[in-house]
Amino acid sequence: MQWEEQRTKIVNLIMIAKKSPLYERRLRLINEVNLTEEKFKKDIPILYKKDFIGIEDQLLTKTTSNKLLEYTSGSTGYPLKCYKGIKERFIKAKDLWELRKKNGGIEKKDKYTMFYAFAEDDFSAELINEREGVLYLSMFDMSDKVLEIYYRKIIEYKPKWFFSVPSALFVFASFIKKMGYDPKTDFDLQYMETSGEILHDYQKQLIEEVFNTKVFNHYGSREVWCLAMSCKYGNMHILDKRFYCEIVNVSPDGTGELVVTDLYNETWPLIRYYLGDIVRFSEKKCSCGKQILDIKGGRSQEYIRIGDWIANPILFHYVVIKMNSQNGDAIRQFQIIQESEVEIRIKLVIGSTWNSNIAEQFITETRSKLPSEASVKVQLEDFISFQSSKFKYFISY
Amino acid sequence: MVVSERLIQIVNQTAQENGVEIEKTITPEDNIVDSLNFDSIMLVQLVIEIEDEFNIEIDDELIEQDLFDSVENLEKFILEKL
Repeated sequence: MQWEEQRTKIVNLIMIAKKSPLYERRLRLINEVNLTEEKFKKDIPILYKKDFIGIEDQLLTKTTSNKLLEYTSGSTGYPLKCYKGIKERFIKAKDLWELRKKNGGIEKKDKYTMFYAFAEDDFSAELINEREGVLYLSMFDMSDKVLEIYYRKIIEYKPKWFFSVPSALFVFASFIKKMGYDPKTDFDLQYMETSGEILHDYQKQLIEEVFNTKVFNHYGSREVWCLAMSCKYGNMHILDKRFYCEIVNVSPDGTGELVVTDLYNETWPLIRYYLGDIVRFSEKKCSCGKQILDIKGGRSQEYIRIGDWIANPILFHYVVIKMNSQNGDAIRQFQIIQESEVEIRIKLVIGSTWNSNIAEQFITETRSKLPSEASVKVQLEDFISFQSSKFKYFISY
Repeated sequence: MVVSERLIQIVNQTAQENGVEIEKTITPEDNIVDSLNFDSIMLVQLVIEIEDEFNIEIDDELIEQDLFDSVENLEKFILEKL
């Protein structure tokens, strides 16, 4: 981290942030003129999700109509509203596409394939969906017979690259290896990018072996988009011209929890925002010359299996946000517990609009996504406690 | 060809390449995001095309929130760079 290089941006960000109701209160006593790195860390409180969940609009500094609204995945049980202005979106998208070009020669016009959960605009969740140069393959059913269909479809589609959460790509790579297929001959991908979860070494090794293509790992979140990307040497590097990163609650070996300041979101500033992933700055320098970020813990995903059926449990998240989009404040928190192969217990913290009709819709929609032998029970709770990086919204039996 | 005409051609071409149908004649007042439905990736592509076409470099730091609020704003930005 180069404080001196980033100080001007941070000071500017604080001045802009003070125009939002939430930061006006939090930063009232901060004198940005004499700001030092020590004062920044000592005087500005860490911003936790719980500090603004439900009042996300209070972080907004501008009233422009060009705000993009997105939701976090709700992997902590709480989907969070996130905003970006047009300038921020442009810069963040440009960074990402420049990295893709540098790492794999990939350009926007190149066709790609990705595992997906659902289309956020209309909640469509077809098994296979082709849209504007992208082949979407559903994670709601990843049983062998469906993966066979996906493999054949990819051969026909001829994508140049693949984008996926590591867990889905690992399931697919395991299937390809079991079947003895040769993707290098069948569709020869030029580039592979994983994102959204921790990329474990065993996953990376198998994916690279099966596809015979280097995997680039993209570390980011809905709140900040791309925060870091691995380089051709396989090491992760923060986009340090865009972010100021700190590690807090540091253990003796340097491992701690990640806190980030997004230097390029003036519309919805995130200053000392607690992401909570477990990270460490390596003492070794990468061969490319940059500081290495080791990600030790964070989002990781177990899959739900019932008989031969296997799926990404994001399907439960799909049902929750579909209910909320249709009914407003229906479900505030959720957790799924697979108690036995066929027994699913869903803990819900309900909101102000929840009623018996929504309850019925919720169960019907959930059952429609599961094999017929699965039983679903809903249990209402006042609160589901979670501790950011340790919380799992799906617990397998 | 004047900058405004060429810029409108580039906007149209970028929209077409991304499967966005613009069913009207683009005017200088059109908001590139709200009226012409450009997403952030299309904006990146548009800026790259503009940089290539007009042989200019667009520095991220100089981009203002209102740059894409109208085709006219973008044209003025290009003219200042030429």
